[in-house]
Amino acid sequence: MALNLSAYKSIQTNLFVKLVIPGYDTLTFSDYHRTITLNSVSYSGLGQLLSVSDTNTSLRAAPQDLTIAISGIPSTNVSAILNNKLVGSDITVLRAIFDSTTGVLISAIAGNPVIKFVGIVNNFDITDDLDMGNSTGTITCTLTATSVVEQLENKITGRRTNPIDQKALYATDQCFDRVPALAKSNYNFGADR
Amino acid sequence: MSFLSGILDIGKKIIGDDTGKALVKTAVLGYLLNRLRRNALKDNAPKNENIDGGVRLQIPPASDTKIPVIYGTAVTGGIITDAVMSNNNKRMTYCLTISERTGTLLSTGAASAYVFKNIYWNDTRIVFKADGFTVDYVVDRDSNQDINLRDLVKIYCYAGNSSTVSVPEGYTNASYPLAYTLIPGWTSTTHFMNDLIFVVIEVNYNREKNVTGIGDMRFQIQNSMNKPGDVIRDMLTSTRYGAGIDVAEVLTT
Repeated sequence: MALNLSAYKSIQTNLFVKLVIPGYDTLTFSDYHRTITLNSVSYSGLGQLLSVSDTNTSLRAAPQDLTIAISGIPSTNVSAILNNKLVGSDITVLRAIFDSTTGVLISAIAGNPVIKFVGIVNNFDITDDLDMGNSTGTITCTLTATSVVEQLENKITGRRTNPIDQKALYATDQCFDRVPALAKSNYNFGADR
Repeated sequence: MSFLSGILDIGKKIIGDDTGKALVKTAVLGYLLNRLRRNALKDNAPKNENIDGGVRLQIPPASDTKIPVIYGTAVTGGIITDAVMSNNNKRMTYCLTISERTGTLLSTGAASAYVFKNIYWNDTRIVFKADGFTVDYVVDRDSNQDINLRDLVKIYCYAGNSSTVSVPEGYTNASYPLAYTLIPGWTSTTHFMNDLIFVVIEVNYNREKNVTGIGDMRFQIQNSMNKPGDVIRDMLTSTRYGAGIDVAEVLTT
């Protein structure tokens, strides 16, 4: 949805992530600097600890990937990540627009906040960076989510023009039996005998 | 003065009467022997003159090609899934598979219906004879007509299976041939082409009229399933080309 921002000299945008993990909890967090409630949902402010990759907006229903990286995770929480069903979790990312001066959500804009991405987590990665010199470490959890459109594309089947696919659907149909042989056939069309 | 008497006179002037005659006899004998030899070779030699070497065609590989699904109206090509050439190499009959047949429309409860709106050969629109399958002529973008394909190319259209004809829009033919009667080797009990939109094309070779290949075919096809809700439901529920989700799990209201 397009937002009319022509009346504002300066704005700031922040992203809000809602992650529904089956059998565990619903996690809500954002790259806003403090906890904020949007649409009756409270989002924890992770600030710079959260990064969300860009997505493209397209008129067509095109498949998309989104990567969400959360840094500064306490090491005690890593087991919670590993032991729960992150893959397959529903994820929704909202973009909200704030007045950059006051830090207040601009409610006068219709449609604010707007949905940026809806998808499903299909992979996650935990990176543990150790700095031996300073005796410090950073744990980063990276979630890769795919849009519903891509999920659908991955799910769909499709009949290929070969006898195996054809016979899987129609066991006695021989229509595609000659396709493999035809693939490399040459014909001297019109050659006199 | 004949050619031989001329040679004889020249021979007399140069080397005397008897010697000249002998030389002329030798020359004539050699000439006749040479003609006899050439005639003998001509009878035994292969007749290379006016032999048509034909055009070498390679059928595009298609065994791993997914059959597309068409909703609404689209102009598309096809995938060659069978081809048979006549024993004299002069007629090619082949099958182009165009699309999957989609399911039932949620909005009306009717089955998907297909119409062949236009058919194009090498970017020219085909106009058929009254039978709806024999090409009469083609029309290019500037409305120029070309009759070179007349009677040499026949295109038969089907929507659903080998027995379900789909006469192109604007034509009627109650005795339109069934697909399995057209391609050698096909029968009604072995070649069903179930749930497919396809055409069978017959091309008769004619070098003089520049009909030497199978042409670049395009088909403007209209599927009655064109509403977003119908399409999404069809893609979600089809086990043939969709996600295969149980119909009961898709909310439709």
